Amino acid sequence: MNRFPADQDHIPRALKRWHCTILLLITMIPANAPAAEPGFSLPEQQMTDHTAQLPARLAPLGLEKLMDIEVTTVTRVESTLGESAAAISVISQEDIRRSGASTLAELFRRVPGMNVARIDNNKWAISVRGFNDRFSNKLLVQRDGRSIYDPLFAGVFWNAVDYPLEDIERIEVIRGPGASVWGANAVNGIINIITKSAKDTRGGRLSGGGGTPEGGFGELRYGGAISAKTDYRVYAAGFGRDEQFSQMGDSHDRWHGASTGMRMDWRQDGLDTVTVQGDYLYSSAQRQDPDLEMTPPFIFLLANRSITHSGNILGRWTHQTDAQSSWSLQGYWSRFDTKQPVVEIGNNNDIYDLDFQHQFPIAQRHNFIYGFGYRYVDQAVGNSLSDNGLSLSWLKNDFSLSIYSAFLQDEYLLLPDSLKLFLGLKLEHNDFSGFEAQPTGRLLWTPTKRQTFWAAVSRAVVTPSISEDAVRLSAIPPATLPSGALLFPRVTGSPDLSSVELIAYETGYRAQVSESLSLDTALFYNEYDGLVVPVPQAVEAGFAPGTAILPLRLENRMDGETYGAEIGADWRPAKWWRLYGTYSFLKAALHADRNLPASTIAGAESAEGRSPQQQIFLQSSFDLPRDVELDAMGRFVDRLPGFVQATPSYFSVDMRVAWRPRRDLEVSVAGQNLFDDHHPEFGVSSIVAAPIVEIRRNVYAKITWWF
Amino acid sequence: MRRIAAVMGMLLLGYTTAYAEATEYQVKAAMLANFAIFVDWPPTAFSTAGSPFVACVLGDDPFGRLLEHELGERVGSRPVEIRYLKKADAAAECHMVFISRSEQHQLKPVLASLRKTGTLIVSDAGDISGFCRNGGMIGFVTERGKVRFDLNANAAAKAGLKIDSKLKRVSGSTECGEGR
Repeated sequence: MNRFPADQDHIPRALKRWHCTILLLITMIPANAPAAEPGFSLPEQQMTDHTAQLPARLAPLGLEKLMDIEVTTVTRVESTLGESAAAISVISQEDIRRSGASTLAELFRRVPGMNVARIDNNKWAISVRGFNDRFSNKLLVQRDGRSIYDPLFAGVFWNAVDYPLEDIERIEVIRGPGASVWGANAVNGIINIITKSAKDTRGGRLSGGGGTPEGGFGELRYGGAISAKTDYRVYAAGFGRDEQFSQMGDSHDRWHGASTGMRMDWRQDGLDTVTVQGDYLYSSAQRQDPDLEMTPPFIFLLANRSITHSGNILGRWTHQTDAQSSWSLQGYWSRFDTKQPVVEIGNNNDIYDLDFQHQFPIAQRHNFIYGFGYRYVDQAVGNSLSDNGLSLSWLKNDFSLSIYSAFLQDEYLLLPDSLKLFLGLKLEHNDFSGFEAQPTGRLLWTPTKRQTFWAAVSRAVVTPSISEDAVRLSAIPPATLPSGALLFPRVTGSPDLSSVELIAYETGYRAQVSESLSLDTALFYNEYDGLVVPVPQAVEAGFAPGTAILPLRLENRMDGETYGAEIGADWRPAKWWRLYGTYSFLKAALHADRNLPASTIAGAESAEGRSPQQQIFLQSSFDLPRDVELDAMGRFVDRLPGFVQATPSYFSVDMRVAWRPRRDLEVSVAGQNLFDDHHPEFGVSSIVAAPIVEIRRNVYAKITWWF
Repeated sequence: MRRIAAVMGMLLLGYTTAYAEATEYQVKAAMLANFAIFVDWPPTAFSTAGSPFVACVLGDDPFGRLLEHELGERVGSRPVEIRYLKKADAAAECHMVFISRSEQHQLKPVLASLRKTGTLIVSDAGDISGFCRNGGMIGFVTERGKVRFDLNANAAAKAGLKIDSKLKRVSGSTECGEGR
């Protein structure tokens, strides 16, 4: 129906696009009941299917006891994705709870094809299918239809993204391009974080806990009904995290923050739903910033903090015109303001976004969707004041950017019930690279109800970001020229950059092998053109006598391919036991322009080795008697040779035990990286030098009370 | 690695007892069976003393054999008959109708055609408050992994059904604007 998580049935655009009933299926298919078939189902058929084993009758328990039974509604998530022509994973609320993770970023470790590396306490490098970096720019992240990546570098500041994890309904991760729907930068993947409708969060919840280095945290949520049609919830949360470990001493990565927000949902006859929501977030994250001096060692790392205030308000109206068609109108405003006091760097933006879409069937076999969007970004970026802009300055400090877009897609039923074709195109105009056309073609074949094959070819682009356009960054120690002058390298953005283009070939197979086992596999081959490389230019006069600047101008001078495979399996050997595992393989081959200096080529191509070639994730979930949940997760992440100091491979074990002594009370203990004191997960980023931080063993306890 | 395997092994061997957990639609089917007990139909709803209790599922059947299983062979002294319907106008003889989610986009007309004496209307489709306002009687709501239900006793009374006070007591509130 639409990209936005419409409250009535929570169908975001992609799934709708790639298949409109997936989400309905997710919310509707019970664990062991037969999948609902369209039309009339004969009881006799059901009988033959199910005579084998019927569970004990529950009716004699009586209503009160029945109301206390946990129902397993979402147990076949993998298989219910069977009808999407893309590689999709869903992180359910149960997965979130049982992961023991306390930040959004950590949740993605379970997703095949995703690269998650914690750089330090408050910084992450997160990407899909390679090109991992703290500043990775090929992943689109949205919460409730609002983009949360920053236009500064077209990536996400993971320290400024937070939400009460228990109020998230689910997170959908789409690997591969979704640009024909979501537009530029939905290149390697899309993350959709969908929060619960206010009508599903009535009542209060108070939770708190602490541990080390988790620190302390607390959260209060309250929701209720204003009228029969209107529900609301409000929340407030805060945390303070201790530091991780550094071989160099202090890791400078303590982190504290607070957030508050609300959501209101109004609905009318199941035909109209209106959502209004807003959040405010404060984060103070320790970091180290380079400060440039004219005396050795020239670059000083100053202990600093990044202080962020961000807020947003979003409104959305969804209208169901009839059983098969609907439209949706959404608008939001968001503000992001971050400052780093010691070196006096800052940037802030206001984003205004308006989006409309409409979907309706044509004839018997077509489902048509189109939409328009407009986004206005007003961004200010500041020079470093502490060193007169020597370490960081901008060609231009204020940006007013407009992005216009339109998309359309047709879902064409080639053969009833078994073969579907999806053709989609997004046209977009942005101020950096002008018009961009991003098409896709997808084919979905479901020879049986339990098997799905799909294949897709898409084009997607990464448009230049504000940083790539205008940054002047000197964060690398200078070299001494034969003349004795000091040569300062300076990364220099360029207004001449064009978009990076991706042509992606993907295919996948899903199977519901048995009632208790489902498999999901995907293969991809991505061809990138015009990847950005910092290219040395003619030496310029320096900041002072005896100094010179080596501009490293950003240019589209590299091609590359990545290919890989992702396998996920979900097996429930018993009602109380679930095993979930994934294996991801990724290989990248980058080819910088051979006319470039050898060191530039080597530096640019080293990105090949900054995402793990192999990853394994395995989770075993037990439901024990007396309302105890036990989860153990193991993950292997391959070595990252693409850094000056390679990051060794690691195997890490996380666990969580939770007990509900009463219906309204939960006590849990969770730990990450249990069998290791500390290890690094990522190397030093090429742009801003800082010591490697190692991630420590983390153990914390938590208590939750519902009222 | 070996340590973890050992821990898991122990856990596996120790615990294989039954759990307070079931599929959503088995619980709903069991609740429907209870509704059949806690609701009194007017004598006019049955043509003879021996005529069956007719339970109907309208739209895609989510229960499989579970509804039959939970209802058992008899409700009170009456034999149970289950019908699976495609259209609401076939529901004239039903004592209880469960409207499946497949009908959620046309709840209003479906409810309009069901409104007649002697039929208990239950559903878990879409917006429960809309369902109740248009004459729905019992709406299932799944919250925090548990099934509860909201009751519209007025609509049931209008249809000549007597709701036992126990059912009223355990029903939720809010969505149907009444109850607890």
